[in-house]
Amino acid sequence: MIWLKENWKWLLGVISTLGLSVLFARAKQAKANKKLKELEEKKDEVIETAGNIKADGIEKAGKKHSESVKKAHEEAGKKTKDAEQAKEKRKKELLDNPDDIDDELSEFGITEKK
Amino acid sequence: MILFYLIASALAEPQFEKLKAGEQASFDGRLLNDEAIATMISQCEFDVSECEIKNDLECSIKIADKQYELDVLQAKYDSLDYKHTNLMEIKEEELKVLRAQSKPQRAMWAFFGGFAIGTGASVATVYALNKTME
Repeated sequence: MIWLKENWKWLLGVISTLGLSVLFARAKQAKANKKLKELEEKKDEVIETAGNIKADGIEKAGKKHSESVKKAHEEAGKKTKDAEQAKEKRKKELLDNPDDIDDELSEFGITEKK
Repeated sequence: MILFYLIASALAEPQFEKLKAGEQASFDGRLLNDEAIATMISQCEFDVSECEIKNDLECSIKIADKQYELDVLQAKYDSLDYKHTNLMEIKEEELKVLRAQSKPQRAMWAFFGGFAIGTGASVATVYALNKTME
């Protein structure tokens, strides 16, 4: 007790120093925790953005695919129409030039009997 | 075309004969007028064209399907690439923070600095209290 009475000032100094150290340590820890929390939020943002990139890409791919298929069908329809017109034209040509019919038949190996 | 080939294969010599109305045919068979023959020939040519068109359409659709699969895979790759690159950066930063927490750099300096500050603070507190007590 006598020692405490004589040295209480030193004890107070030590306790104050320890208190300050604890405060600094806590401040440092809080700063680190804040930084870690920020990084965690950033991580969530990155995951969300990555999901959006994927969704946009798939959406674009789907649109491109449907356009390609539509274009292919349109082209096929146009070609079929042209082929039908060509068929009618060819029929007319053959009727206008009956000798061509003989040539066509000979191409199939059907010859004219003389 | 198949009909003609069938006729051609069934008979030894496939033949035709031009006849005028009322004329007698020199062999048994079917008499077709020019319109019928022209229809068969033009239909035959049309069938070939139609087959090519259908083939082209199937090819185009297959190519479009494969392109779609490729685009989807590319989108997935882009997404994963972005995610990987950015998450790696974040993880690196996290590691820096955690390393700083668990292993402070210049530990000796921190120790001596802390010791010096602590001592200084103790001396200053005692000095101040002495002055106050006086």
